[in-house]
Amino acid sequence: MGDSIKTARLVAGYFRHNLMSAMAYRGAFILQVVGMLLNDLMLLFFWWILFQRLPTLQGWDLGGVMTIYGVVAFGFGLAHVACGNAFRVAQVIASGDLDYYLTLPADPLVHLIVSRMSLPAWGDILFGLVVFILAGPERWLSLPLFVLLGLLTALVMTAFAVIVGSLSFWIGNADAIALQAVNALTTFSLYPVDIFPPAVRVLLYTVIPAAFVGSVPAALLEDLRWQNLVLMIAFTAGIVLVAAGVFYRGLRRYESGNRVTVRG
Amino acid sequence: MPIITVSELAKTFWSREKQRGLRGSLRALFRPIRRKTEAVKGISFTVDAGERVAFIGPNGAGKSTTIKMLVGILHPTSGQAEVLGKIPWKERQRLAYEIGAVFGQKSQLWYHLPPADTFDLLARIYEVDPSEQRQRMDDLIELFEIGDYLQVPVRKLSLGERMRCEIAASLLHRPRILFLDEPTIGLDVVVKQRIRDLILELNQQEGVTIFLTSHDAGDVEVLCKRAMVINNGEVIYDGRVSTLKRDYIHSKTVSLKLGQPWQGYDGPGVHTLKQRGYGVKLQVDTTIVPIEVVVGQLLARYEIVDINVDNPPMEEIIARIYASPREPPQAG
Amino acid sequence: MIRYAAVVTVAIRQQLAYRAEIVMRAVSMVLFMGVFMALWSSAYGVSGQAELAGYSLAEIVWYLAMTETITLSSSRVFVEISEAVKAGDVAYTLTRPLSYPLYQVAYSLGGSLPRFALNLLTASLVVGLGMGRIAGSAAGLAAFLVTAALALVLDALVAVLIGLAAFWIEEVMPAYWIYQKLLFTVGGLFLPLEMFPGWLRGVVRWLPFQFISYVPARAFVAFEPAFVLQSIAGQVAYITLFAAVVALVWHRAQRRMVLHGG
Repeated sequence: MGDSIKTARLVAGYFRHNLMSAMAYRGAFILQVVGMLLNDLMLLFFWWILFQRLPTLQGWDLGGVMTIYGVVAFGFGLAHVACGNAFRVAQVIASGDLDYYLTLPADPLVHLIVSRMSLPAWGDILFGLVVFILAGPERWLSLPLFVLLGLLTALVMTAFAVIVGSLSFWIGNADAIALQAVNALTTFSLYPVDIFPPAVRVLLYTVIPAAFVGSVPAALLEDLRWQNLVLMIAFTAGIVLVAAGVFYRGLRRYESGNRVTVRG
Repeated sequence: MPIITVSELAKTFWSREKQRGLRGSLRALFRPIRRKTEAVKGISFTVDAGERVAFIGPNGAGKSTTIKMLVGILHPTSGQAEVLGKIPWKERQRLAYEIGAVFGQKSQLWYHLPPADTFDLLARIYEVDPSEQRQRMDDLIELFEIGDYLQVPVRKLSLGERMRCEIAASLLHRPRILFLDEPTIGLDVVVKQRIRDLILELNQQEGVTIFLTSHDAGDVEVLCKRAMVINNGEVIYDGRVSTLKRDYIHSKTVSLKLGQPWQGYDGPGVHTLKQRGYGVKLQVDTTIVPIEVVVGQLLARYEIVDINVDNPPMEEIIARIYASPREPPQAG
Repeated sequence: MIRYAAVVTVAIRQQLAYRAEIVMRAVSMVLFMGVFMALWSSAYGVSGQAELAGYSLAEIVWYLAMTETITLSSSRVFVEISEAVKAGDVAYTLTRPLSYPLYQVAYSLGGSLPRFALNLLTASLVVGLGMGRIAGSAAGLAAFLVTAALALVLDALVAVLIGLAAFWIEEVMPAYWIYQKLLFTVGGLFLPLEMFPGWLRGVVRWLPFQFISYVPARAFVAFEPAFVLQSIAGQVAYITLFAAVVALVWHRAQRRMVLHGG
């Protein structure tokens, strides 16, 4: 119990510290947030045009796709704001910077992932909220569920990033592969999972769990089915445990000293 | 016949001050506070063809600002300068064909490619014709002994190897003056010495005029006949290096790492600056005892793991110049 | 001009040193084309029509293969420029008998070329296999290569402009995102202009963005000499305009450097 309080303090401390340092360059910060907001908004343009030509696509309409965008952007934003370094795990391991986190008293994985905040990601959070509210009537009523699902989405993304980043423990510099894997997750999550052929759909529920980042939570917001909510929570818990397992297994290998040196 | 003439050259920077907090930002928007920095305050000197001149001073003294004005990438606030008969900031690109510039911490080599590729590119940029280039490359490879790693990607070279390539690259177009801004920064003692030897050889073989800045008095001692000391934007000494040494560089520091406990050193002109465990730092007054004598005695008496002899920091030399009653500053 | 050609050559060699990165881009291409094929197959299935806005399924997919080829080969030179500006390194390049913006354009094109070749190959392979046919002609390919080359020049000029903006704004990434998203939308990267509502099409055909994405891809899938010639004229006009703006901005940046030291 004492440990988890300590960890929570560390997370909160980093969050505060990162935010304060962002505020020191307020102009650049606001510019990045607004830039990202516009950036995300323009992505919806495609769907707006497409749904002028088609009524629905495999059961999804513009409102449904906007809900997907809302959840993905909100979760993506949360993950990058609170755990910005989770997406740089491969780089940190490969460059040898991990040693720094190992010398400190806190849990190395938690410490590593929270020690960086992406500033433009605040724009994603804002965009996610706005798009979700605008996607349909009376959306503010389901805001608590939206926030909960956004949190789960963020956890799935972070855990996935840690898993692919941890590949560096085994194969040296996995930076490019990890980046590609995370990009694939984000790309696929923005499309309704039902448009893909069945074989691809299986992949999207397992190896690249894009369904749990986009379509599954979005469907829950349209139609709250309890068994699906339980599935979503179970999957999140599972992938978080796997991520921690993979990271610590790799860490043991790292500490035993037979890692591949990639520096230089 | 001077090839660099500088008179009353001055540069003043205005910087906007950043204030903390939202209120500060707002105030800065409407009534910005501007701060004036006089980086160079009206300096004058001339340099003759074939000279080796050192421009020395602590960080922020105005060395880089001066060198930037001389190569034409910075306009002065007032004053004149002529390099090879051209006003640098007005005829920058024409001057570029006749001068070479090496900035210690700004690499011109392409990081992921072997130096040979950068050499080829520079030859095109400076319009060196191919047969001339081949001849020139052979000479430079021989002088700088870079033949072995001309085909190795730059990222795999050591800092010293890189610096040799860096200097060779800036000589491809046969410049008449070579400007070097902190060429030995970050290098270890042996490599520093190697670079100094090369620059010296270059000057003697090809007659290239050398104008270098440094904050390491060692560079000056070995390399140059003439030194200008600059501090707070003013030249406070301009004269022979031997005179500078005789009058102002009176001490050296010796850092030792021992294989046994320190038992002291008693002799005139030596005192202990710092001692912790097996590490010792001594200051030697070279007007009282030659450095060779002290080092010899230390080697005889102690088991020594590592030894370093350093010049006093620039700040100390400058303090001594200011304190000196004998020789007034010779700045213009 | 020879010296800038030399820069292009060296930049190509440097790009080839980043083999892993090039391969990863090709992987991205496979991924994107896979998503697009699934999406549009589904959309054409739902609509029950053989053509949407005059494009068949194969045509739209080939169209997207071509726009993606250009986008994934496009310039990232603003990253290096803005970093050099912030570090105060740009001033040092002034000692060379060379124009910095032109150098950067040449550098950018050298970086784009190997990527362009690989992306074109990958995209054609994936889409060719997926669709079972090529929706374009030899003349279309020739027109594509010419207009794509001009598109990359225009794109490099925009990237240089974004990079130089670092002299005045602290962070240039947002400017890049917006430019990139304008290409995605009004540039026609994700959707050919024919799918836009009429009023919007009327506006965007005068903007520079469609010359970078839409024009080369359209020239490939529906080759029409008049369209190609008109488009090339437009591209050249915008290249001239942007070159002038870059020159102006560079002039001011240079003034700033030589007066204030960067």
